[in-house]
Amino acid sequence: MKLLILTATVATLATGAALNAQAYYGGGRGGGGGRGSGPSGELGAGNPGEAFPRPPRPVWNPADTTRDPTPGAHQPGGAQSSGGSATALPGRAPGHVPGAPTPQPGTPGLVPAGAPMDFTRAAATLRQIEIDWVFPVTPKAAQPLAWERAIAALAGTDRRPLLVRRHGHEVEAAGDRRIADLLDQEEMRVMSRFFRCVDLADTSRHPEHPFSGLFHPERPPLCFVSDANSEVAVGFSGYETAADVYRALYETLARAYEGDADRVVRGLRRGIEDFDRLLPREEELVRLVDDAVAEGGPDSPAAKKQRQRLDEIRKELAALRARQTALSDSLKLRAAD
Amino acid sequence: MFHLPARSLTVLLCATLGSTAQEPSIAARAASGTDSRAVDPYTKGKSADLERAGYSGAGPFALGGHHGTEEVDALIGAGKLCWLETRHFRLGIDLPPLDLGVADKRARERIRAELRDLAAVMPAIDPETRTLDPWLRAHLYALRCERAYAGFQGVIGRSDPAFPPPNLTVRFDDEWLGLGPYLGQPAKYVVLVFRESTDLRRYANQYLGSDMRWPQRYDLGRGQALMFLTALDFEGNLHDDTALHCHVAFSLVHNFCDGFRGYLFETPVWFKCGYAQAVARRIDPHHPQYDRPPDRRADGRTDWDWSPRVRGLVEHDAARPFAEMATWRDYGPFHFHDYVVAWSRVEFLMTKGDAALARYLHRMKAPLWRGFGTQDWTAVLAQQDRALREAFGFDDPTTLDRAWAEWVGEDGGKSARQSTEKARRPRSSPQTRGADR
Repeated sequence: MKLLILTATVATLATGAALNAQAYYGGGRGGGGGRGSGPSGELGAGNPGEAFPRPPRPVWNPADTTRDPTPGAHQPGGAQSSGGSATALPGRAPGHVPGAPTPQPGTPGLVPAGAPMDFTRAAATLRQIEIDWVFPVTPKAAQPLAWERAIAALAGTDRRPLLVRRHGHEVEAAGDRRIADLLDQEEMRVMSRFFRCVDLADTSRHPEHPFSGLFHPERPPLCFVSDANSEVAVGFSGYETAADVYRALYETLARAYEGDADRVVRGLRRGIEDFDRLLPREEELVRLVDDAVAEGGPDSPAAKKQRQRLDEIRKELAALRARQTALSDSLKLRAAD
Repeated sequence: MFHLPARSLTVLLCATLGSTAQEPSIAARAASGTDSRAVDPYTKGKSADLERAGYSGAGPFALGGHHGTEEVDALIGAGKLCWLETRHFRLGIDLPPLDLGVADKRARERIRAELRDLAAVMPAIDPETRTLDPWLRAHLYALRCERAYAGFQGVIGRSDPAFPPPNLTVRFDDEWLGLGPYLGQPAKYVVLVFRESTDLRRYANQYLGSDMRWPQRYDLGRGQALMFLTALDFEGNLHDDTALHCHVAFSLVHNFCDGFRGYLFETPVWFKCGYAQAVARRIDPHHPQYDRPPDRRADGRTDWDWSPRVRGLVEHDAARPFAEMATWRDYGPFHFHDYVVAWSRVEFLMTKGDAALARYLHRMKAPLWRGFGTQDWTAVLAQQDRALREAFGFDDPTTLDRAWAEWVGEDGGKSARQSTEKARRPRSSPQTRGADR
């Protein structure tokens, strides 16, 4: 893995072309030879954190020392990825945002020291924001599909932009893990609803596979985001900073949707806090109702009381879901060209 | 930043590009025999050793009408699933290595006994091994599936020779035992256990035309197999071997009940649920199973000591009446107490003996129509009433409920309690959920 990281850095220095975040712009396999410069020309210009409004801090569990609270700050083995920028940034630790304190593993970021707080979301809440992955049927094709046709096959009739993940081969395990960690972040989960999220096996990059036209033969990305019309796409290898990945995602959303995606995602995330409060309570009350019924019968005072509390919580949940749906629907897909 | 001499730069680039170009695929490694996962170290894939171990083969074999093990390997990567074909099953098992050192004592003893049984037919197995590699775990699950099958045959009182060769002719006489030799099904039962749900979903989308987001029992269709598919990351505790064992057993029993005398129509789910719970609880009662209703998540609560709960429900007349539960054809209406009550009712019926259970199942699964499907639920329910009367002597649901409540109250479900208390021990692992179809 270290060899790959070194090579990525060296190749970037040598060629000046984007290696990690690869832009594919239709008409074949792209990768450093695409038609336009698209978003990659802006990435890495100056301070990534300042060029784009920083997304809110993702939630993490302080006990999980594999994650850093500052997106992109954690780089294994001193990897020098510049996060997909067209130019490397000499002299800066990758992913570090000037002015932000360097967090220590297990320390809740900028929260003042004190009793440790558990920021782990409830399982029921996490289920609300699971990424809705689609597993496309491999089409029968005599030869690999061209880029546009492959994207069209993945998109089907869905006009949302695509977020495509390829499960990495064993040698890509570290990048694969990093992509998995990124996809597990709350902000990613919440914004994923605005993408058609497609999951592809590693076999999809094999030369004879119909979808191999999506991937550069030598440096296939582990994840890429594409407009539904296949005209603009950005790929990720897992070594980009989260800030750069999110920038690419939000820019894709800006092209695809009318409305302020950042505002909507922030609002939806505030709603997640309420789900975290209400859903575990609902589950607990269901159990309490059952316990009260088993102990005193369905008409016992205890059972009636718990059932009343459960009804109140469910009313709150229904109202919350309605608000979340309305906010989500406020982002409207632009009319197709 | 790394600054390297130009010569080293060239070497690194070439080395890396070279290694990328020659990157060995899992399929290539499997084809060359260098992938340890592709070859069973205990039989080496040799026919004589497989036969001695009781296997019909180790792939390739068909899974459905239009696909088999080779297609699945090409789709998700060769060498992931360990393929085994037993007398009654076709299995694809992808499990991580298991360290017995961290298992609790009862699980360890149970597994060691199973390993000794396997070692008797596969001498390469060391029953005292501390770590179970993926192939050894696959062999364990093959053994467990066959034992579950044998247990069901014991209950229905029929062995392999009783069942007919594969055919699609439905007869209405009492001797007709189905469409084929596998409890009445024409094809072997298929069990697929994936390590990752992404592989399961990829397979199901590609070859079953269905996106399976949860463990699933699946009927491939007329003349084909009944399947059970699951993945370890569907549920939080399936990395626990005992939990997984209970999870698989629960769904196998459903498939056996459906397959017996041919899967011609749906039957009321209460018996399958209760009997499957009883079988799973005899493995370990600390892993209750729940199916997933169509419109919500499965119940996932960890309460496993159901006997006191049953007594409370009976005492306060809070148990769902059998007249209502007996009409349900799927898990849609089931809530937690319904699982508890279904289990208790079946435990009560099991006290009447295997012969009575066999008579019930035989009558319940008698063909109603010449074709497949469920055309008339009323006819199915009428058949159920006949089956309960002939097998157990209950003229109507109220009579059954009264007898059951008495049994819970007096003997207090003593036999059920005893089997639960024997297994009682301090536990901290979470419980599991079931599957849905």
